[in-house]
Amino acid sequence: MEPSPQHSYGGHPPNSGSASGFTIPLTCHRTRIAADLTALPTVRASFAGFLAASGVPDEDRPRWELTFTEATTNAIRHGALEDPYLHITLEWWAEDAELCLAITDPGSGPPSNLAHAPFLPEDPLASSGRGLYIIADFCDTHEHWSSPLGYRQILRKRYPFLTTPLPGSADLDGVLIELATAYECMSAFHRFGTALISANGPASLLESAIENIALVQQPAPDFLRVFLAPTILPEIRDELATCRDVLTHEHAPPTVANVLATSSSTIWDRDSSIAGDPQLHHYSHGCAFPIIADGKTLGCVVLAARNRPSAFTPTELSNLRTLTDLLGIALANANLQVHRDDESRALRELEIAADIQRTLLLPPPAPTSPYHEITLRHRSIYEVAGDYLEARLDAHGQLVLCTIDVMGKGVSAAMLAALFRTVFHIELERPENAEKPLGDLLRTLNLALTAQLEPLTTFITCALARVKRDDATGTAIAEIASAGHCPVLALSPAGPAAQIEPTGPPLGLFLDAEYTTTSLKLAPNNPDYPDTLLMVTDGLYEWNDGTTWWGWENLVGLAALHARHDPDTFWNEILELATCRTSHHSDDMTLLHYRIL
Amino acid sequence: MSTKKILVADDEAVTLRLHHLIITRAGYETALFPDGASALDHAAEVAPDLAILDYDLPGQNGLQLTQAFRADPDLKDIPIIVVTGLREQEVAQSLRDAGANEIILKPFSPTLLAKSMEQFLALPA
Repeated sequence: MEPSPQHSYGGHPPNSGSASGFTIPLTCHRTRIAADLTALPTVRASFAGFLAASGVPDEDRPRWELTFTEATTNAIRHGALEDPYLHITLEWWAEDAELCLAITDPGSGPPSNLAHAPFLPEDPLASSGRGLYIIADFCDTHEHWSSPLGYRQILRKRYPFLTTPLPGSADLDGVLIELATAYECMSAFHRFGTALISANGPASLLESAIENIALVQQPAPDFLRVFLAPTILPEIRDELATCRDVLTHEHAPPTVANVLATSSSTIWDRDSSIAGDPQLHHYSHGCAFPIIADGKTLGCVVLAARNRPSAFTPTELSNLRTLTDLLGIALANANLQVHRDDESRALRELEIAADIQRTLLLPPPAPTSPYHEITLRHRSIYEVAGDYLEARLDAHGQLVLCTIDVMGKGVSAAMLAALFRTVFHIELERPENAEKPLGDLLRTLNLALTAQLEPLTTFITCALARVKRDDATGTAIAEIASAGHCPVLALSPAGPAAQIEPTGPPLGLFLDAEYTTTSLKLAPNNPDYPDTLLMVTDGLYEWNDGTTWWGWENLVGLAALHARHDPDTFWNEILELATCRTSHHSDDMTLLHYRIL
Repeated sequence: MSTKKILVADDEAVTLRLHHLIITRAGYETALFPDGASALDHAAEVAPDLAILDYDLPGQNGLQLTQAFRADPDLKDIPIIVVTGLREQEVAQSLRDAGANEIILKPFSPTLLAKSMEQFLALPA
């Protein structure tokens, strides 16, 4: 019967590049021998040992040894012509359920007709000529080819299950252990990633990370704790400390306290270093790793065992460090969550405040008259009114001008401004207040506001001006009262004519505060008298370009140029200056301009 | 008491070797197969105590192999762990429906795999 193996033959390697073809695996045994037949028995014995270790069935082993002998003899005799200065290379390995043998000699291989159709010699007693036939008859595949490097053949026989494809290579074992460690880490990161998506808060994420550690310990540790360092923000520390196996640094035993202080690991193996630790000295083996993320020590994880048979292996310690890194991510995430919550809350507050501003604090249109010109301008930095301004008629039809500045920003400032506005409107409607000095109106407002703000440490600065026109002369008397507000500037055609300083403390602080009233005569276009009042908030002039404050004096100087006739140009120039010279202007800006006509 | 034997089918040679390392270190024997067909052909002969099947096998995949095991009177009671990189719920459900005892996602934890093996092998036959 003619053998019918799968042959391939040519001038290039068959199956090159394929996993099952030319690639020689890490497990390959490689031997280089002189082309001397006396070297054959030793190397064949080594091959026989490999056959046994690989689980090749007993009945196949003699045939493999015969095949090995024939192929190697051919290589020595015909390939290297038994020249002891030439060499034969022998390789064997098991891969993908195949046992493989490769032989390389310096020759050019057998004649192609013999290579393609090996046959038995006619003389059954012939001492040679049967090698290729035996190979082809026994192996599943016989690949062989010539190249400038010589003649190479690879013999393969398939075994559906080789009991051990690992011929005891320490190198390969090392690689596989590294691979197992890498798998362990990837798996842990994957589980943690899944937890990151499904966790409903930092505490559950931390618990998940701790479970991750406990899950892969074998045997299970007798002691597993996570200690939180003071770097965990107080807002989240108490919540995290309610998690199972989590404690704050106040409860850390001395060994852990040292790890937290030095950010250095401690590993003990039946040694005395732990003897003085009141909590941990019961445990024969253990390790304490600092939990570090983003350069900060956020805590410490401690694993300990009472009667562990052996020390932690390098692989176990490596895996634990990886899992500790995951704890670091969980804790850093908790800290980050606090910051995000704060930012989110602040943003939400600003949105609410902006809504209050739009609905409650929009200044109503100023009363119109042929005898005056009023301009109201406001620019809010936070889209929120910490400032408020209004021009309104009182119960006697007198014009009252008002600017206020509430301490603080956001919702509380907007709410306080709204509260002021309500009280201001109520009091302005009372006829008796129209008859009292303006300082008394401030006193009334202060009483109302202080009573309501008493539990709070906040206040409002306010400037009021009430204009009483004298129809006979075309002039007016402006009463001015100020509760801790910035000066009111009076301008005449000749320039700044007066600035009225506060006449009492801010509103909302002292129940017994008193406010005086200052009066000015206003006359249109008369250099001897002011005709314009500028009422502002400090945001209009208290800004700096990084080195110097712009300040009140500069505002007065700019106002002297064209604020009387052209308040919009004045306003726009200040805005432009503030925008160009400061990277971050942090206060509202308000201008109330009045000019008698 | 004879050493328990675990059948592994995986077409990745390195993964097959990794399984071998994990299993032999846990004290069990292996029977390794590079595809589903050869695993099924020899499973009765090997008579494993547990089978670990890769889902993405050439020819017969892990699901079909699980179904074939469960349909074979000699193999139907062998606990089966399927290892897969597929996250779809449908895959997991179809494997469970077919009779897989556990599904382990890649990248798998060697420690957890060893724990699972011990859990199944500790069960009374």
